[in-house]
Amino acid sequence: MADEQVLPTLPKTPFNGASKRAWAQANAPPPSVSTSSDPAVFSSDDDPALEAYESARRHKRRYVGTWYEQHAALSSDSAMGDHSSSPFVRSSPIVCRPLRRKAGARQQKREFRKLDSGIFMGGPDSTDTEGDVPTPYTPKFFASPAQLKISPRSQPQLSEAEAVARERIKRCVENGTQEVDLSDLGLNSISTETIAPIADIEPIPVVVKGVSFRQADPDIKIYLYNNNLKDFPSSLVNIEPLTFLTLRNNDLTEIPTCIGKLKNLKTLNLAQNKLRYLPAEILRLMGDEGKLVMLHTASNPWWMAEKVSFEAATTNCGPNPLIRTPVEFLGSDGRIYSRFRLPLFGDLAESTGSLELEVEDPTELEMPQDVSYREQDDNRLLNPKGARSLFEYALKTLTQLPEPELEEVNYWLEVDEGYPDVREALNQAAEAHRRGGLTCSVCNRGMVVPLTRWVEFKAPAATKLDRELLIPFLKVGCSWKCVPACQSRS
Amino acid sequence: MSDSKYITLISYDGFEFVVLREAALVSETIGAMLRGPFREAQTGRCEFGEIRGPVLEKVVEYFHYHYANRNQTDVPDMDIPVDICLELLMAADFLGLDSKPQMRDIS
Repeated sequence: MADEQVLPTLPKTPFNGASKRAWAQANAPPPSVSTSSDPAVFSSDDDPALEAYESARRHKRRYVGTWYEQHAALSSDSAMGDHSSSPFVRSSPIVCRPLRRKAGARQQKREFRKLDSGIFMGGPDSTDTEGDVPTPYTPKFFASPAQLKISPRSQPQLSEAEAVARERIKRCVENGTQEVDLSDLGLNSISTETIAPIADIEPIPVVVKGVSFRQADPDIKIYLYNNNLKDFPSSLVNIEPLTFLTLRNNDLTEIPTCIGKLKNLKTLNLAQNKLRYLPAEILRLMGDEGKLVMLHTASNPWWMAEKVSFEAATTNCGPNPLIRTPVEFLGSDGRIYSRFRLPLFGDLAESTGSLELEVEDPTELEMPQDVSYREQDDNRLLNPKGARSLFEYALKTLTQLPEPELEEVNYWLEVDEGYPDVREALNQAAEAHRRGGLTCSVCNRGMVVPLTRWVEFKAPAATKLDRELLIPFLKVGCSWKCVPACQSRS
Repeated sequence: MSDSKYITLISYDGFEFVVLREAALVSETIGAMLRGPFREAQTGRCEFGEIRGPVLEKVVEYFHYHYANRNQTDVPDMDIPVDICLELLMAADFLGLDSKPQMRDIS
Protein backbone atom coordinates (compact mmCIF):
# COMPACT_ATOMS: atom_id res chain seq x y z
CA MET A 1 0.00 0.00 0.00
CA ALA A 2 1.27 3.39 -0.98
CA ASP A 3 -0.09 5.22 2.01
CA GLU A 4 1.93 3.04 4.33
CA GLN A 5 5.17 4.28 2.93
CA VAL A 6 4.89 7.95 3.97
CA LEU A 7 3.53 9.08 7.24
CA PRO A 8 0.08 10.58 6.70
CA THR A 9 -0.54 14.14 7.73
CA LEU A 10 -2.45 14.59 10.91
CA PRO A 11 -6.14 14.36 10.00
CA LYS A 12 -8.50 17.18 10.69
CA THR A 13 -10.69 16.31 13.60
CA PRO A 14 -13.68 18.03 15.09
CA PHE A 15 -11.33 19.21 17.80
CA ASN A 16 -9.06 21.17 15.49
CA GLY A 17 -11.62 23.03 13.43
CA ALA A 18 -13.21 20.77 10.86
CA SER A 19 -16.95 20.37 10.93
CA LYS A 20 -18.03 17.12 12.41
CA ARG A 21 -19.91 15.75 9.42
CA ALA A 22 -17.31 16.77 6.89
CA TRP A 23 -14.65 15.10 8.95
CA ALA A 24 -16.59 11.96 9.33
CA GLN A 25 -17.27 11.64 5.64
CA ALA A 26 -13.87 12.58 4.39
CA ASN A 27 -11.88 10.50 6.80
CA ALA A 28 -13.27 7.11 6.50
CA PRO A 29 -10.21 5.34 7.80
CA PRO A 30 -8.76 2.46 5.84
CA PRO A 31 -9.84 -1.02 6.89
CA SER A 32 -8.88 -1.32 10.45
CA VAL A 33 -6.10 -3.79 10.35
CA SER A 34 -3.68 -4.61 7.64
CA THR A 35 -2.81 -8.03 8.90
CA SER A 36 -2.76 -10.92 6.50
CA SER A 37 -5.78 -12.64 7.93
CA ASP A 38 -9.30 -11.70 7.05
CA PRO A 39 -10.87 -9.01 9.14
CA ALA A 40 -13.54 -9.93 11.59
CA VAL A 41 -17.02 -9.26 10.25
CA PHE A 42 -20.14 -9.00 12.25
CA SER A 43 -23.63 -7.82 11.49
CA SER A 44 -26.04 -5.87 13.54
CA ASP A 45 -29.69 -4.91 13.46
CA ASP A 46 -29.24 -1.68 15.32
CA ASP A 47 -30.74 0.67 12.69
CA PRO A 48 -34.30 1.38 13.66
CA ALA A 49 -35.12 3.28 10.44
CA LEU A 50 -38.34 2.15 8.84
CA GLU A 51 -36.83 1.79 5.39
CA ALA A 52 -34.79 -1.08 6.62
CA TYR A 53 -37.93 -3.09 7.28
CA GLU A 54 -39.83 -2.27 4.12
CA SER A 55 -38.01 -4.41 1.65
CA ALA A 56 -38.48 -8.15 1.58
CA ARG A 57 -35.02 -8.80 2.85
CA ARG A 58 -33.87 -6.86 5.81
CA HIS A 59 -30.56 -5.21 5.57
CA LYS A 60 -28.39 -5.84 8.46
CA ARG A 61 -25.42 -3.73 8.95
CA ARG A 62 -22.05 -5.32 8.54
CA TYR A 63 -19.10 -4.18 10.48
CA VAL A 64 -15.49 -4.77 9.69
CA GLY A 65 -13.00 -5.04 12.48
CA THR A 66 -13.47 -4.52 16.14
CA TRP A 67 -16.59 -3.03 17.60
CA TYR A 68 -14.84 0.04 18.89
CA GLU A 69 -13.65 0.97 15.46
CA GLN A 70 -17.21 0.70 14.22
CA HIS A 71 -16.76 0.61 10.50
CA ALA A 72 -20.03 -0.78 9.35
CA ALA A 73 -19.59 -2.66 6.13
CA LEU A 74 -22.39 -2.33 3.73
CA SER A 75 -24.09 -5.44 2.74
CA SER A 76 -23.39 -6.43 -0.79
CA ASP A 77 -26.55 -4.85 -2.12
CA SER A 78 -25.96 -1.41 -0.75
CA ALA A 79 -22.34 -1.55 -1.70
CA MET A 80 -23.41 -0.77 -5.24
CA GLY A 81 -24.48 2.76 -4.36
CA ASP A 82 -22.43 5.73 -3.42
CA HIS A 83 -22.22 5.76 0.31
CA SER A 84 -22.73 9.43 0.77
CA SER A 85 -26.23 8.95 -0.66
CA SER A 86 -26.91 5.86 1.36
CA PRO A 87 -29.56 6.35 3.99
CA PHE A 88 -27.50 4.52 6.56
CA VAL A 89 -24.71 6.97 6.41
CA ARG A 90 -26.95 9.91 6.83
CA SER A 91 -28.93 8.58 9.66
CA SER A 92 -26.02 7.42 11.77
CA PRO A 93 -22.62 8.77 12.66
CA ILE A 94 -21.13 5.45 11.80
CA VAL A 95 -19.00 5.52 8.73
CA CYS A 96 -20.06 2.88 6.29
CA ARG A 97 -17.63 1.20 4.00
CA PRO A 98 -18.17 -1.67 1.71
CA LEU A 99 -15.89 -4.54 2.41
CA ARG A 100 -14.68 -4.59 -1.15
CA ARG A 101 -15.57 -1.81 -3.46
CA LYS A 102 -16.26 -2.30 -7.18
CA ALA A 103 -16.40 -6.05 -6.83
CA GLY A 104 -19.19 -8.00 -8.36
CA ALA A 105 -22.02 -8.33 -5.91
CA ARG A 106 -22.42 -12.00 -6.57
CA GLN A 107 -18.88 -12.87 -5.99
CA GLN A 108 -18.85 -10.84 -2.85
CA LYS A 109 -21.87 -12.56 -1.52
CA ARG A 110 -20.29 -15.92 -1.92
CA GLU A 111 -17.26 -14.79 -0.08
CA PHE A 112 -19.29 -13.43 2.76
CA ARG A 113 -21.02 -16.70 3.20
CA LYS A 114 -17.79 -18.44 3.61
CA LEU A 115 -16.67 -15.94 6.17
CA ASP A 116 -19.92 -16.07 8.01
CA SER A 117 -20.47 -19.74 8.48
CA GLY A 118 -16.96 -20.83 8.90
CA ILE A 119 -17.96 -24.16 7.48
CA PHE A 120 -17.33 -24.84 3.85
CA MET A 121 -19.99 -27.16 2.60
CA GLY A 122 -18.55 -27.71 -0.85
CA GLY A 123 -21.03 -26.56 -3.46
CA PRO A 124 -21.75 -28.33 -6.71
CA ASP A 125 -19.03 -26.45 -8.53
CA SER A 126 -16.37 -26.98 -5.94
CA THR A 127 -13.64 -29.24 -7.10
CA ASP A 128 -12.51 -32.29 -5.24
CA THR A 129 -9.15 -31.46 -3.81
CA GLU A 130 -8.59 -34.67 -1.93
CA GLY A 131 -6.23 -36.00 -4.52
CA ASP A 132 -3.98 -32.99 -4.17
CA VAL A 133 -3.45 -33.39 -0.46
CA PRO A 134 0.13 -34.51 -0.04
CA THR A 135 0.49 -37.76 1.85
CA PRO A 136 1.85 -37.04 5.30
CA TYR A 137 5.51 -37.66 5.77
CA THR A 138 6.18 -40.76 7.77
CA PRO A 139 9.61 -41.23 9.24
CA LYS A 140 11.31 -44.50 8.58
CA PHE A 141 10.74 -46.12 11.93
CA PHE A 142 7.07 -45.39 12.12
CA ALA A 143 5.42 -47.23 9.32
CA SER A 144 1.70 -47.28 8.98
CA PRO A 145 0.03 -50.36 10.45
CA ALA A 146 -0.95 -51.49 6.95
CA GLN A 147 2.69 -51.49 5.95
CA LEU A 148 3.69 -53.33 9.05
CA LYS A 149 1.29 -56.19 8.41
CA ILE A 150 0.81 -56.57 12.11
CA SER A 151 -2.53 -58.12 12.56
CA PRO A 152 -4.46 -56.34 15.24
CA ARG A 153 -3.86 -58.17 18.43
CA SER A 154 -6.86 -60.37 18.82
CA GLN A 155 -8.62 -59.90 22.07
CA PRO A 156 -7.92 -63.13 23.89
CA GLN A 157 -11.09 -65.00 24.42
CA LEU A 158 -11.67 -65.72 28.05
CA SER A 159 -11.84 -69.46 28.25
CA GLU A 160 -14.38 -71.12 30.45
CA ALA A 161 -11.72 -72.44 32.76
CA GLU A 162 -10.20 -69.02 33.17
CA ALA A 163 -13.57 -67.49 33.91
CA VAL A 164 -13.94 -69.98 36.73
CA ALA A 165 -10.44 -69.12 37.89
CA ARG A 166 -11.32 -65.42 37.92
CA GLU A 167 -14.42 -66.13 39.92
CA ARG A 168 -12.42 -68.08 42.49
CA ILE A 169 -9.78 -65.38 42.75
CA LYS A 170 -12.48 -62.78 43.22
CA ARG A 171 -13.96 -64.76 46.05
CA CYS A 172 -10.55 -65.13 47.68
CA VAL A 173 -9.97 -61.39 47.50
CA GLU A 174 -13.37 -60.69 49.02
CA ASN A 175 -13.01 -63.18 51.84
CA GLY A 176 -9.36 -62.52 52.50
CA THR A 177 -8.59 -66.18 51.86
CA GLN A 178 -4.90 -66.62 51.31
CA GLU A 179 -5.11 -70.04 49.73
CA VAL A 180 -5.96 -69.58 46.08
CA ASP A 181 -7.09 -72.91 44.72
CA LEU A 182 -7.03 -72.98 40.92
CA SER A 183 -6.43 -76.70 40.58
CA ASP A 184 -8.14 -79.15 38.22
CA LEU A 185 -9.53 -76.45 35.98
CA GLY A 186 -7.94 -77.58 32.73
CA LEU A 187 -6.32 -74.18 32.27
CA ASN A 188 -4.24 -73.85 29.10
CA SER A 189 -2.98 -70.42 29.93
CA ILE A 190 -3.70 -67.81 32.51
CA SER A 191 -3.53 -64.12 31.75
CA THR A 192 -2.01 -61.30 33.72
CA GLU A 193 -5.43 -59.73 34.26
CA THR A 194 -6.64 -62.86 36.00
CA ILE A 195 -3.63 -63.17 38.26
CA ALA A 196 -3.04 -59.54 39.18
CA PRO A 197 -5.86 -59.30 41.79
CA ILE A 198 -4.22 -62.03 43.89
CA ALA A 199 -1.65 -59.48 45.00
CA ASP A 200 -4.49 -57.52 46.62
CA ILE A 201 -5.46 -60.30 49.01
CA GLU A 202 -5.16 -59.11 52.55
CA PRO A 203 -5.64 -61.48 55.41
CA ILE A 204 -8.36 -60.72 57.89
CA PRO A 205 -6.58 -60.54 61.21
CA VAL A 206 -7.80 -62.59 64.10
CA VAL A 207 -8.52 -60.38 67.02
CA VAL A 208 -8.13 -62.07 70.37
CA LYS A 209 -8.99 -60.43 73.63
CA GLY A 210 -5.99 -59.58 75.67
CA VAL A 211 -3.55 -59.89 72.79
CA SER A 212 -2.35 -56.71 71.20
CA PHE A 213 -3.52 -56.32 67.65
CA ARG A 214 -1.01 -57.17 64.99
CA GLN A 215 -1.49 -57.01 61.26
CA ALA A 216 -0.41 -60.38 59.97
CA ASP A 217 1.95 -60.48 57.04
CA PRO A 218 0.26 -61.84 53.96
CA ASP A 219 1.20 -65.40 53.22
CA ILE A 220 -0.29 -66.35 49.88
CA LYS A 221 -0.49 -69.89 48.58
CA ILE A 222 -1.39 -70.66 44.99
CA TYR A 223 -2.47 -74.12 43.85
CA LEU A 224 -2.29 -74.61 40.11
CA TYR A 225 -1.86 -78.38 39.97
CA ASN A 226 -3.57 -80.64 37.42
CA ASN A 227 -3.85 -78.03 34.70
CA ASN A 228 -2.45 -77.86 31.18
CA LEU A 229 -0.26 -74.79 31.48
CA LYS A 230 2.42 -74.69 28.79
CA ASP A 231 4.11 -71.51 29.94
CA PHE A 232 4.93 -70.42 33.41
CA PRO A 233 2.53 -67.55 34.17
CA SER A 234 5.14 -64.82 34.48
CA SER A 235 2.77 -62.46 36.22
CA LEU A 236 2.94 -64.73 39.27
CA VAL A 237 6.30 -63.24 40.12
CA ASN A 238 4.64 -59.90 40.86
CA ILE A 239 2.88 -61.39 43.86
CA GLU A 240 5.51 -60.60 46.39
CA PRO A 241 4.07 -62.37 49.47
CA LEU A 242 3.74 -65.67 47.61
CA THR A 243 5.16 -68.40 49.83
CA PHE A 244 3.73 -71.57 48.34
CA LEU A 245 3.33 -72.42 44.69
CA THR A 246 2.45 -75.73 43.20
CA LEU A 247 2.44 -76.29 39.47
CA ARG A 248 2.35 -80.06 39.68
CA ASN A 249 1.12 -81.97 36.64
CA ASN A 250 1.22 -79.26 33.98
CA ASP A 251 2.95 -79.06 30.61
CA LEU A 252 5.66 -76.57 31.51
CA THR A 253 8.85 -76.82 29.45
CA GLU A 254 10.76 -73.97 30.98
CA ILE A 255 10.84 -71.84 34.10
CA PRO A 256 11.68 -68.21 33.30
CA THR A 257 14.50 -66.43 35.06
CA CYS A 258 12.09 -63.91 36.56
CA ILE A 259 11.15 -66.50 39.19
CA GLY A 260 14.11 -65.06 41.07
CA LYS A 261 11.85 -62.21 42.12
CA LEU A 262 9.83 -64.47 44.44
CA LYS A 263 11.99 -63.86 47.46
CA ASN A 264 9.40 -65.12 49.94
CA LEU A 265 8.76 -68.42 48.25
CA LYS A 266 9.25 -71.34 50.61
CA THR A 267 7.77 -74.25 48.70
CA LEU A 268 7.83 -74.78 44.97
CA ASN A 269 6.35 -77.90 43.42
CA LEU A 270 7.32 -78.49 39.80
CA ALA A 271 6.75 -82.23 39.68
CA GLN A 272 5.21 -83.95 36.65
CA ASN A 273 6.04 -81.36 34.04
CA LYS A 274 8.13 -81.39 30.89
CA LEU A 275 11.07 -79.48 32.28
CA ARG A 276 14.60 -80.07 30.99
CA TYR A 277 16.46 -77.76 33.31
CA LEU A 278 15.89 -75.02 35.85
CA PRO A 279 17.25 -71.49 35.83
CA ALA A 280 20.11 -70.73 38.17
CA GLU A 281 17.83 -68.20 39.88
CA ILE A 282 16.19 -71.05 41.79
CA LEU A 283 19.56 -71.89 43.29
CA ARG A 284 19.80 -68.31 44.46
CA LEU A 285 16.39 -68.54 46.06
CA MET A 286 17.60 -71.60 47.93
CA GLY A 287 20.69 -69.73 49.04
CA ASP A 288 21.02 -66.45 50.85
CA GLU A 289 18.75 -64.48 48.59
CA GLY A 290 15.54 -66.38 49.16
CA LYS A 291 13.70 -68.63 51.58
CA LEU A 292 13.06 -71.60 49.33
CA VAL A 293 13.38 -74.81 51.31
CA MET A 294 11.14 -77.29 49.56
CA LEU A 295 11.60 -77.97 45.88
CA HIS A 296 9.71 -80.84 44.32
CA THR A 297 11.09 -81.87 40.98
CA ALA A 298 10.07 -85.46 40.43
CA SER A 299 8.88 -86.84 37.10
CA ASN A 300 10.42 -84.40 34.68
CA PRO A 301 12.52 -85.37 31.64
CA TRP A 302 15.60 -83.68 33.06
CA TRP A 303 18.87 -83.55 31.26
CA MET A 304 21.03 -86.25 32.75
CA ALA A 305 24.68 -86.25 33.52
CA GLU A 306 26.57 -88.91 31.66
CA LYS A 307 27.38 -91.73 33.97
CA VAL A 308 31.07 -92.28 33.53
CA SER A 309 32.15 -88.72 34.00
CA PHE A 310 29.73 -88.38 36.81
CA GLU A 311 31.45 -91.07 38.76
CA ALA A 312 34.81 -89.51 38.09
CA ALA A 313 33.55 -86.20 39.35
CA THR A 314 32.09 -87.56 42.53
CA THR A 315 35.11 -89.54 43.48
CA ASN A 316 37.58 -86.76 42.81
CA CYS A 317 35.90 -83.93 44.58
CA GLY A 318 34.88 -83.18 48.08
CA PRO A 319 31.51 -83.42 49.77
CA ASN A 320 29.90 -80.79 47.58
CA PRO A 321 31.00 -81.86 44.14
CA LEU A 322 30.70 -79.66 41.16
CA ILE A 323 29.28 -81.67 38.33
CA ARG A 324 28.92 -79.65 35.23
CA THR A 325 28.95 -79.80 31.50
CA PRO A 326 31.67 -78.13 29.45
CA VAL A 327 31.17 -74.43 28.95
CA GLU A 328 29.59 -73.15 25.79
CA PHE A 329 31.24 -69.94 24.58
CA LEU A 330 29.20 -67.54 22.50
CA GLY A 331 29.66 -64.26 20.70
CA SER A 332 27.29 -61.39 21.26
CA ASP A 333 25.49 -62.34 18.06
CA GLY A 334 24.62 -65.74 19.52
CA ARG A 335 27.18 -67.67 17.52
CA ILE A 336 28.79 -70.56 19.39
CA TYR A 337 32.57 -70.72 19.32
CA SER A 338 33.21 -73.74 21.48
CA ARG A 339 33.05 -77.35 20.41
CA PHE A 340 30.54 -78.16 23.11
CA ARG A 341 26.97 -77.17 22.39
CA LEU A 342 23.99 -77.41 24.66
CA PRO A 343 21.03 -79.08 23.01
CA LEU A 344 18.89 -76.60 21.15
CA PHE A 345 16.39 -74.99 23.41
CA GLY A 346 13.65 -74.69 20.84
CA ASP A 347 13.34 -78.42 20.22
CA LEU A 348 12.76 -79.30 23.82
CA ALA A 349 9.02 -79.41 23.67
CA GLU A 350 8.94 -82.12 21.03
CA SER A 351 11.19 -84.75 22.49
CA THR A 352 10.02 -86.24 25.72
CA GLY A 353 12.71 -88.64 26.84
CA SER A 354 15.49 -87.47 29.06
CA LEU A 355 18.73 -86.46 27.45
CA GLU A 356 22.25 -87.35 28.47
CA LEU A 357 24.63 -84.44 28.71
CA GLU A 358 28.35 -84.79 28.45
CA VAL A 359 30.03 -83.95 31.72
CA GLU A 360 33.41 -82.33 31.94
CA ASP A 361 36.12 -83.03 34.39
CA PRO A 362 35.63 -80.10 36.76
CA THR A 363 39.34 -79.51 37.00
CA GLU A 364 39.55 -78.62 33.38
CA LEU A 365 38.13 -75.81 31.39
CA GLU A 366 38.27 -75.79 27.67
CA MET A 367 38.40 -72.39 26.08
CA PRO A 368 37.85 -72.27 22.34
CA GLN A 369 41.20 -72.96 20.75
CA ASP A 370 40.61 -71.99 17.18
CA VAL A 371 39.82 -68.34 17.79
CA SER A 372 42.19 -65.42 18.07
CA TYR A 373 41.50 -62.49 20.29
CA ARG A 374 42.04 -59.05 19.04
CA GLU A 375 43.81 -56.76 21.42
CA GLN A 376 40.64 -54.79 21.96
CA ASP A 377 38.76 -57.99 22.85
CA ASP A 378 40.67 -58.24 26.07
CA ASN A 379 38.25 -55.81 27.54
CA ARG A 380 34.95 -56.63 25.96
CA LEU A 381 35.25 -60.38 25.98
CA LEU A 382 37.68 -61.18 28.75
CA ASN A 383 37.20 -58.46 31.34
CA PRO A 384 34.20 -59.62 33.35
CA LYS A 385 33.36 -56.31 34.92
CA GLY A 386 34.74 -54.00 32.29
CA ALA A 387 33.02 -51.98 29.63
CA ARG A 388 30.66 -53.91 27.41
CA SER A 389 30.48 -53.62 23.68
CA LEU A 390 28.49 -50.88 22.04
CA PHE A 391 26.47 -53.61 20.36
CA GLU A 392 25.29 -54.86 23.73
CA TYR A 393 24.45 -51.40 25.01
CA ALA A 394 22.34 -50.68 21.94
CA LEU A 395 20.72 -54.09 22.23
CA LYS A 396 19.88 -53.44 25.85
CA THR A 397 18.10 -50.21 25.01
CA LEU A 398 16.22 -51.91 22.20
CA THR A 399 14.99 -54.81 24.29
CA GLN A 400 13.56 -52.43 26.82
CA LEU A 401 11.31 -50.85 24.22
CA PRO A 402 7.62 -51.55 24.56
CA GLU A 403 6.35 -54.49 22.58
CA PRO A 404 4.74 -52.74 19.58
CA GLU A 405 7.84 -50.66 18.94
CA LEU A 406 10.01 -53.72 19.14
CA GLU A 407 7.82 -55.33 16.51
CA GLU A 408 8.37 -52.31 14.30
CA VAL A 409 12.11 -52.49 14.72
CA ASN A 410 11.95 -56.16 13.82
CA TYR A 411 9.93 -55.33 10.76
CA TRP A 412 12.51 -52.86 9.54
CA LEU A 413 15.32 -55.27 10.13
CA GLU A 414 13.40 -57.85 8.17
CA VAL A 415 12.88 -55.44 5.30
CA ASP A 416 16.54 -54.58 5.25
CA GLU A 417 17.59 -58.22 4.95
CA GLY A 418 21.23 -57.22 5.14
CA TYR A 419 21.46 -57.82 8.85
CA PRO A 420 20.50 -61.41 9.64
CA ASP A 421 22.94 -61.55 12.55
CA VAL A 422 21.59 -58.39 14.09
CA ARG A 423 18.05 -59.62 13.81
CA GLU A 424 18.91 -62.94 15.36
CA ALA A 425 20.75 -61.24 18.22
CA LEU A 426 17.84 -58.90 18.82
CA ASN A 427 15.34 -61.75 18.84
CA GLN A 428 17.34 -63.69 21.38
CA ALA A 429 17.90 -60.68 23.58
CA ALA A 430 14.24 -59.71 23.46
CA GLU A 431 13.22 -63.24 24.33
CA ALA A 432 15.59 -63.29 27.29
CA HIS A 433 14.25 -59.94 28.43
CA ARG A 434 10.68 -61.22 28.21
CA ARG A 435 11.61 -64.15 30.42
CA GLY A 436 12.84 -61.87 33.12
CA GLY A 437 16.32 -60.89 32.05
CA LEU A 438 19.64 -62.58 32.55
CA THR A 439 22.03 -62.22 35.42
CA CYS A 440 25.60 -63.38 35.28
CA SER A 441 26.00 -66.41 37.54
CA VAL A 442 29.55 -65.41 38.41
CA CYS A 443 29.59 -61.66 38.82
CA ASN A 444 25.88 -61.01 39.41
CA ARG A 445 25.67 -58.37 36.75
CA GLY A 446 22.65 -57.95 34.53
CA MET A 447 23.21 -58.60 30.86
CA VAL A 448 21.40 -58.88 27.57
CA VAL A 449 23.24 -61.68 25.80
CA PRO A 450 24.98 -64.58 27.50
CA LEU A 451 28.58 -65.08 26.42
CA THR A 452 28.99 -68.35 28.29
CA ARG A 453 26.49 -71.05 29.15
CA TRP A 454 26.83 -74.26 31.03
CA VAL A 455 24.74 -76.62 33.07
CA GLU A 456 25.51 -77.54 36.63
CA PHE A 457 23.98 -80.57 38.22
CA LYS A 458 22.90 -80.29 41.81
CA ALA A 459 20.93 -82.46 44.11
CA PRO A 460 19.19 -79.90 46.25
CA ALA A 461 16.80 -82.23 48.01
CA ALA A 462 18.94 -85.27 48.55
CA THR A 463 21.57 -85.74 51.17
CA LYS A 464 23.02 -88.72 49.39
CA LEU A 465 24.25 -88.23 45.86
CA ASP A 466 22.25 -90.17 43.38
CA ARG A 467 22.47 -89.69 39.66
CA GLU A 468 18.70 -89.85 39.34
CA LEU A 469 18.23 -87.04 41.78
CA LEU A 470 20.53 -84.56 40.11
CA ILE A 471 18.74 -81.54 38.76
CA PRO A 472 20.34 -79.53 35.94
CA PHE A 473 20.60 -75.81 36.48
CA LEU A 474 21.42 -73.58 33.53
CA LYS A 475 24.01 -70.95 34.31
CA VAL A 476 25.05 -68.03 32.17
CA GLY A 477 28.04 -65.72 32.22
CA CYS A 478 28.53 -62.19 30.95
CA SER A 479 32.08 -62.60 29.67
CA TRP A 480 34.39 -65.37 28.60
CA LYS A 481 36.03 -65.15 31.99
CA CYS A 482 32.74 -65.68 33.74
CA VAL A 483 33.04 -69.43 33.98
CA PRO A 484 32.79 -71.88 36.86
CA ALA A 485 35.79 -71.82 39.11
CA CYS A 486 38.07 -74.77 38.52
CA GLN A 487 38.49 -77.03 41.47
CA SER A 488 41.95 -78.21 42.01
CA ARG A 489 42.46 -81.91 42.27
CA SER A 490 43.24 -82.75 45.82
CA MET B 1 49.42 -37.21 8.49
CA SER B 2 49.00 -40.92 8.54
CA ASP B 3 50.95 -41.35 11.74
CA SER B 4 49.16 -38.55 13.55
CA LYS B 5 47.82 -39.19 17.01
CA TYR B 6 44.33 -38.31 15.86
CA ILE B 7 42.14 -39.39 13.03
CA THR B 8 39.05 -37.80 11.58
CA LEU B 9 35.74 -39.61 11.20
CA ILE B 10 33.21 -38.11 8.83
CA SER B 11 29.51 -38.91 8.90
CA TYR B 12 27.49 -39.01 5.74
CA ASP B 13 25.87 -35.68 6.50
CA GLY B 14 29.26 -34.05 6.80
CA PHE B 15 30.00 -33.94 10.52
CA GLU B 16 33.64 -34.46 11.30
CA PHE B 17 34.89 -35.94 14.55
CA VAL B 18 38.54 -35.86 15.50
CA VAL B 19 39.28 -38.92 17.63
CA LEU B 20 42.30 -40.28 19.38
CA ARG B 21 43.62 -42.96 17.04
CA GLU B 22 44.23 -45.40 19.83
CA ALA B 23 40.65 -45.07 21.06
CA ALA B 24 39.18 -45.55 17.60
CA LEU B 25 41.15 -48.74 17.09
CA VAL B 26 38.60 -50.50 19.27
CA SER B 27 36.72 -50.84 16.05
CA GLU B 28 38.06 -53.61 13.94
CA THR B 29 36.69 -51.99 10.79
CA ILE B 30 38.44 -48.69 11.44
CA GLY B 31 41.61 -50.57 12.28
CA ALA B 32 41.49 -52.31 8.91
CA MET B 33 40.81 -49.04 7.13
CA LEU B 34 43.86 -47.43 8.71
CA ARG B 35 46.16 -50.36 8.23
CA GLY B 36 45.56 -51.25 4.64
CA PRO B 37 46.76 -49.58 1.47
CA PHE B 38 43.72 -47.35 1.46
CA ARG B 39 43.30 -43.64 1.11
CA GLU B 40 42.09 -43.56 4.70
CA ALA B 41 45.43 -44.88 5.87
CA GLN B 42 47.28 -42.08 4.12
CA THR B 43 45.02 -39.18 5.02
CA GLY B 44 43.74 -40.36 8.38
CA ARG B 45 40.20 -39.45 7.34
CA CYS B 46 37.51 -42.12 7.39
CA GLU B 47 34.21 -41.42 5.72
CA PHE B 48 31.13 -43.39 6.65
CA GLY B 49 28.51 -43.14 3.99
CA GLU B 50 25.88 -44.88 6.10
CA ILE B 51 26.23 -43.35 9.54
CA ARG B 52 24.40 -40.19 10.50
CA GLY B 53 26.05 -37.43 12.52
CA PRO B 54 24.22 -38.04 15.82
CA VAL B 55 24.92 -41.77 15.59
CA LEU B 56 28.59 -41.29 14.81
CA GLU B 57 28.76 -38.87 17.73
CA LYS B 58 27.54 -41.62 20.05
CA VAL B 59 30.02 -44.04 18.51
CA VAL B 60 32.82 -41.57 19.20
CA GLU B 61 31.53 -41.19 22.74
CA TYR B 62 31.74 -44.95 23.08
CA PHE B 63 35.35 -44.94 21.80
CA HIS B 64 36.34 -42.60 24.57
CA TYR B 65 34.22 -44.38 27.15
CA HIS B 66 35.88 -47.63 26.24
CA TYR B 67 39.31 -46.06 26.14
CA ALA B 68 38.90 -44.41 29.52
CA ASN B 69 37.65 -47.66 31.08
CA ARG B 70 39.96 -50.06 29.33
CA ASN B 71 41.51 -51.59 32.41
CA GLN B 72 38.81 -50.77 34.90
CA THR B 73 36.36 -53.01 36.63
CA ASP B 74 32.84 -52.17 37.74
CA VAL B 75 32.31 -49.84 34.85
CA PRO B 76 28.92 -48.15 34.75
CA ASP B 77 26.88 -48.98 31.68
CA MET B 78 26.67 -46.44 28.92
CA ASP B 79 23.22 -45.01 28.24
CA ILE B 80 21.91 -45.12 24.73
CA PRO B 81 19.14 -42.76 23.67
CA VAL B 82 16.13 -44.65 22.38
CA ASP B 83 15.73 -42.68 19.18
CA ILE B 84 19.03 -43.76 17.69
CA CYS B 85 19.43 -47.20 19.26
CA LEU B 86 18.59 -49.20 16.14
CA GLU B 87 20.93 -47.18 13.95
CA LEU B 88 23.56 -47.51 16.62
CA LEU B 89 23.08 -51.27 16.73
CA MET B 90 23.68 -51.49 13.01
CA ALA B 91 26.62 -49.11 13.18
CA ALA B 92 28.13 -51.22 15.99
CA ASP B 93 27.66 -54.32 13.87
CA PHE B 94 29.32 -52.63 10.93
CA LEU B 95 32.21 -51.26 12.94
CA GLY B 96 32.82 -54.55 14.72
CA LEU B 97 31.96 -53.14 18.14
CA ASP B 98 30.48 -56.36 19.46
CA SER B 99 32.04 -58.96 21.66
CA LYS B 100 33.10 -61.85 19.56
CA PRO B 101 36.50 -63.14 18.65
CA GLN B 102 37.75 -63.89 15.19
CA MET B 103 37.98 -67.43 14.00
CA ARG B 104 41.62 -68.14 13.56
CA ASP B 105 42.73 -68.84 10.03
CA ILE B 106 43.87 -72.38 9.71
CA SER B 107 47.01 -71.97 7.65
